[in-house]
Amino acid sequence: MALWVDKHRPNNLDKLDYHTDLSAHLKKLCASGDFPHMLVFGPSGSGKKTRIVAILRELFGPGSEKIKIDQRIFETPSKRKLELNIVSSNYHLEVNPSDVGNYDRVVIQDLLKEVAQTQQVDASAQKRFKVVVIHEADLLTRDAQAGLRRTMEKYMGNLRIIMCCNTTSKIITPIQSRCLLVRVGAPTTQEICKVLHKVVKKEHCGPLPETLALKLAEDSGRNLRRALLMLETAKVQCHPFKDNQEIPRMDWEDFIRQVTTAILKAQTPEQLQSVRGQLYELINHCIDPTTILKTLAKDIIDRVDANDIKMRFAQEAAFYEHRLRTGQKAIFHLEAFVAKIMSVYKRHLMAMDM
Amino acid sequence: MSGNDSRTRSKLLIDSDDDIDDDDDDDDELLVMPAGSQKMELQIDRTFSVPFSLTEELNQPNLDGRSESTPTPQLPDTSAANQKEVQRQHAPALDEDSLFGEDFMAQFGDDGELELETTDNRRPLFPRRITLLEATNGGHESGENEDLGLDRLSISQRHRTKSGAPAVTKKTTSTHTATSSTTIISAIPSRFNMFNRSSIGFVPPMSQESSQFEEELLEMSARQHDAMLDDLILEDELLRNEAEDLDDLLQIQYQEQELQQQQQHRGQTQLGLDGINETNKRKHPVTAASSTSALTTIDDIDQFLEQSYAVNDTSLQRSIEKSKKSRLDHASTGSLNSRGASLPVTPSLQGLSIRPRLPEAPKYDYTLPPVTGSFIKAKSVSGQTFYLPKKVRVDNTKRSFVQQLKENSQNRKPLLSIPIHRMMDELDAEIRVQKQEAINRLEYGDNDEPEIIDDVPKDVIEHLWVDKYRPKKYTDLMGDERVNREVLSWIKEWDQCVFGRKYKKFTSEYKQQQQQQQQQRFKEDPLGRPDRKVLLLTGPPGLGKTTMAHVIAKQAGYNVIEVNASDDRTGASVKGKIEAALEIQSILGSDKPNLLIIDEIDGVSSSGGEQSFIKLLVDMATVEVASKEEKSKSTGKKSKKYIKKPLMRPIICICNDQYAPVLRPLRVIAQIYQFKKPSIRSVVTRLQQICEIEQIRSDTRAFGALYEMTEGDMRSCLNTLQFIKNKSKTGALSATSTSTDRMGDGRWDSHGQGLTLETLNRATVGHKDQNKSLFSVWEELFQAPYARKARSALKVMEEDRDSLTYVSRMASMIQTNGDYEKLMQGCFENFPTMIFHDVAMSKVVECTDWLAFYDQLNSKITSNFEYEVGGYVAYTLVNFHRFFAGSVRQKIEYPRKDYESFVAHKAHESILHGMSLNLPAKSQRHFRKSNFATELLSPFLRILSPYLRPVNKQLIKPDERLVLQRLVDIMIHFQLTFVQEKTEDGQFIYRLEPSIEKLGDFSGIGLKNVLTNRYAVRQLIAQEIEVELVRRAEAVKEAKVGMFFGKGAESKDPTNSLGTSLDTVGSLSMPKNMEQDNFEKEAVDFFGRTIVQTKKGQTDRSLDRSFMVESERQMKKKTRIWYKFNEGFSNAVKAKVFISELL
Repeated sequence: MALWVDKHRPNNLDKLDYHTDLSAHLKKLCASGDFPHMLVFGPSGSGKKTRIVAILRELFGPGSEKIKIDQRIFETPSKRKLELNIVSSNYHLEVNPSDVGNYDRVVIQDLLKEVAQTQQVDASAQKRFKVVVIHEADLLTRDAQAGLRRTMEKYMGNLRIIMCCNTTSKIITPIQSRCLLVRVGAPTTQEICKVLHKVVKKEHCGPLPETLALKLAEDSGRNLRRALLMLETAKVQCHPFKDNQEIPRMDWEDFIRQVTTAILKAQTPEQLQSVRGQLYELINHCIDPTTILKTLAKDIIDRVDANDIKMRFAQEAAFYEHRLRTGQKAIFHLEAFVAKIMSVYKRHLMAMDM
Repeated sequence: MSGNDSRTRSKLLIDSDDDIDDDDDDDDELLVMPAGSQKMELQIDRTFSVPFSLTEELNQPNLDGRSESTPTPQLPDTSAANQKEVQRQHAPALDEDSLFGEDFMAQFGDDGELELETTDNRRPLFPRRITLLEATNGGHESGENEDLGLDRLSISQRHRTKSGAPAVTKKTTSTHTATSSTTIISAIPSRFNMFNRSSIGFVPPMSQESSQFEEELLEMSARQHDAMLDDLILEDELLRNEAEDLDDLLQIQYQEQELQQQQQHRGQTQLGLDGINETNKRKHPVTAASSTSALTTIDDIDQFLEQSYAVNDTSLQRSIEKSKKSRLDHASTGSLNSRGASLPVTPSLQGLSIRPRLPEAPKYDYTLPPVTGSFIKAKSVSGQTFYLPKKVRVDNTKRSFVQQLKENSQNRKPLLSIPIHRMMDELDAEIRVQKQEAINRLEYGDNDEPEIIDDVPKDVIEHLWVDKYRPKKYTDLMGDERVNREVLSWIKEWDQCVFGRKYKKFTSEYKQQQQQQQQQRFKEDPLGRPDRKVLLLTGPPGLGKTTMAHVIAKQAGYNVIEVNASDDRTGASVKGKIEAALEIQSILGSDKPNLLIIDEIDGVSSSGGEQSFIKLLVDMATVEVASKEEKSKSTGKKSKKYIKKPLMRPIICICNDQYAPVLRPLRVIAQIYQFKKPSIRSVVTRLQQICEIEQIRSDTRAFGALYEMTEGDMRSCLNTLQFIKNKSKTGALSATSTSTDRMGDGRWDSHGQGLTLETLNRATVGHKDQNKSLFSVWEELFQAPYARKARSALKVMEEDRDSLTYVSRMASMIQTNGDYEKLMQGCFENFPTMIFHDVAMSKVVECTDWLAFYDQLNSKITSNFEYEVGGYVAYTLVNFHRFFAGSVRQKIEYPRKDYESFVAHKAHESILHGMSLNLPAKSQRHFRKSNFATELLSPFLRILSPYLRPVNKQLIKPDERLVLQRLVDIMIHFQLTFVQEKTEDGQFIYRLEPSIEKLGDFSGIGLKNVLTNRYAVRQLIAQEIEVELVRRAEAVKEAKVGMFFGKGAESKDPTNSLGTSLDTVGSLSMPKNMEQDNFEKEAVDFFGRTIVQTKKGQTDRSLDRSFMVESERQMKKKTRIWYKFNEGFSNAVKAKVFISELL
């Protein structure tokens, strides 16, 4: 029995709980013969993937749900073997090229061509094309994205591409212009609450207090997936639900909170070094450096009081996040950010003293 | 000697005859020594250390090696300045042209009178001598004095040989000159020490003449004793008359003409040396006397002269050579030059210049004891006894003597009219001019005198200095004396084995105790070999490892056999060689035992497995252990098994890197000595010595710099020195103008060669392009310039040059190392610990900008292959120096954190990967690796840890059962389970598998409230999971069977039973769906035709064989039998065929 997140995931467009107009729109699009490439973007936990799965179902019927996992091996020009898991059904194919890091270009080139060069065999299929879903498209390297460009036009007859990403800013504009941009916004807290109540009702686990639902929705950062996971956690930890029940946070978020405390406590090289250790630990635990930076920045901004400083921090965070993306050694940039924050904060404190 | 002087004396006289017969080869001793020569020589040495030129004395102050308690407050060897001072003081008081600037002068006039000049009677001139004289005057206080007296007698004998005409006539012209020069005239009482000394030191310059000379002596000794005694008397009379209170009477038969000739010649050559070689003048012995060594050949003398003249001028050597060549020519030039008198006399002559004595000196009756007091008894061959009175020293009469001397000298041409130092200066100037002329000639192509080309010494190419100054014996070795000593004692430990003699090690009692303890623990080697049979010397190049090994081995009496990288060193090929070296004794060569030196052993290849070189070596060294045991065991048995021979000869291995992986096995068994670079002081001292010998003007700072530059590499130092010398040589010839300019500056001396910081700096070759270690680069980076300045001379020099461009220096240093990534990591990890001044971390921020730049460059190189930006990488590192260099030497640690973090990251990632693979396909879509850790993990772990009481399964309440049920469901869904494991301390624990716990485990937060760790609960869950899995497997079977008969829907809830297994297979998620699909699919075949008969699926290909068997069993109840082709998948070729059709 799966987790509630999976268990209660809607499997067609009609069952989706929010963004109903978008759902209706998509349904029409699927019904028409001309289905475009699609770029689905939005914050995590807003239901992009759910929506994509629903679209596939709409396009190909229940056959699209018969999925299997293949392990494909690609070979780079330098004869290196790359292994990649591909989720596929008869009608579609889901890849996550960013799993192979810098070699995603190879995957994109090989796989897409292979798929595009074969026509849909099943005569009874509703559509004559196959769909390739590319997850985490914003992590595609520039090369891979460039490789995608021409393929998207050339094999339009056989192939549609649905890309899923958090932000379009990392997608090159030629691709953006070839796609229908579908934004899936994060659900409102009310919508999340609705979903939570619905799930609780389905699971027959007693009434969910409204305050708790609201709290869960807020704590999740309008991330429905997180909200549902937290709901289940809450249920496991304390059942029946209580109003003022404590909602555990993510471990790593707690940890980043400690980092913030350290940064704000002292601004010395020694402190920097101890912070470095913590940053290393975060990286060790497979937390994405960008996430670390973002969370850290948010946390710091929350915890300092002066407004100008907040803006400054946000600016610096953006700056160092960019550097983080262009570079390879995450720790350098994370530390650079911390050092900068420390420096700015120290100056701020000194100015206040004077 | 004995107290009885008279007896000894006579005996010695006789002895001296015998000695003359016997001592054929040793001319020196022959001339001088009666019996007991050794001792006498010694005494004479001590006594006569002074009377050569002052310059000489200044250069070799410790020559005599004796610190005599001389009552002389003003020894003339204090300093040159002092000397000059003295001169200035005394010069006016005396006849100017009779003074040398030396204290003392003795002259013989043409009339044969002996004249002695002393510049100052207040000042003891030859202090040691004076002491001696005083002792003599005091009576027969010491045997020493008597010995000397006797010695003199024997010398007088030699004097006879000179005057013996027949001997002279026998000789060839060349020998004649030699002989005349060798013969020394005087036999005088003990006060004539000076002369005595001169005669002692004298050596006939040609060795081939010695026999003739000897003959002559023999003849004379037989015939002329009486005459000699007469002479003695004569001399004594003369002396008495002329200078009764004379400190020394120095008598040398000396032809005025010869002297002048010599002087003139000296003037011609302007070096004042040639005369010596040309005619072997008297002054020569005087010079030679300064060192008691026997000089038997011309070369020796030349060499000696070079040293004794202490003029740092190679031109001197040249002129000597020249003079050698043109000796005969010069001999013929007899004309007296007017310059001669004013020309410098060699330092040796400064002490004394003597003219031939006249025969008509008043007689003294030696047959009677003197009235004056003390005397020395002597017996002639004829048996007559003589009494040689001793002189009483009267100090206050000195003055009168000097006056006398002056008076006498007034009607004579003085030998030296100008003080010697002035003459030397003139000489120098002339040499300079000459050189300049030579240079000019060379430059302007004026080759009037081809001789000048010969001026360039021929020994330029002779040797590398490295070889020339290679230590020859143990005491020459530099470096850590402890290491030297220990290596030597290690080799000595082999003595028992190799030479069969016991080597007693000098150790302290404590050490001995320790050793005894050790010996108790380990069995002592039956062959008496050291504990460790192989010696391994390690250290950076140029410290003299190889040299040391060779020197010590030779000193210990071994015949060295060297195997180095130039030889083939695979195990097989070298085996025979080594064994031969160690076991076979050379017949033809020396009879010394062999010692094997394996040089550059870290360069051997490790390949070859069993046969590899190192393995072989280790086998050889360790074989004794086995053989010893075997021997002890097998002595009784007399087993015929082949026993390897134990190692019987020492082996020394030499390498640079003792941690080379190849050497690992060797390190275990070898005695390792690590070479450190020698102290700067010892290196500088050695270099100074060499520079002195090579006549390079030097500068201590420059040596320091050289040391720094080469990092204590002696070989490199020497090579650089030699290079600089050669360079400056050619440079002096080619660049006249600059060299003259420089002379004015005083930076260059007249010879144009000097080791200064400047030359060192310009000599770009000397710089060792050494790969600096990571740590040294880090240290440099984090060390402020002024801190280094204090440390090394070299850096000062560099600092002066580019105080502003530390960037280039640092960058080049970093580039030389080249390991940017490691360097950067080291800097990155170390810079926060550095001590530096920083306002609001601005430096750190700036530095992080550079780090980001570095990262960008790096990613450009690694991902975009833009190697052209690689050149800039070094400069990012320089910034650490800019920001964080401190004056204090700061501790730098090797960077590990990044790697540790990397490893941990990898481990976690693999867990994550495994986990994500275990996820069911549908979940896998939604939980990727990227968000698994950030979003799923934390709540998931909590979901996995509901509160459960650790009770028996039967006692669980219904609601708890529900919770448990749910937990088990989830865990099975994610293919998680608890696995029992035994910890190191023997406890059993249940561990989550895959261990995603670790992923959520942050230090400082922990998993306190996350996952229950209670053994009982986990055990309960684990059991429950197993039970559930079994239950589900059963359910799957049943469901499938049921499905086959079309009653799948009725049997059970298929979602429950089939969920897991089929989900993970991934092909068919839900049985219900499958059912549906069957209907849909089976409606059409491959070509779209409807197939009516087949109700049951071709799609159940996934069902396994056992299932089929089972189903067939069930179908046996019916009469019909189905054979089903079950392999492959194709609707096109499948058709139903009845058996009957086939039959």
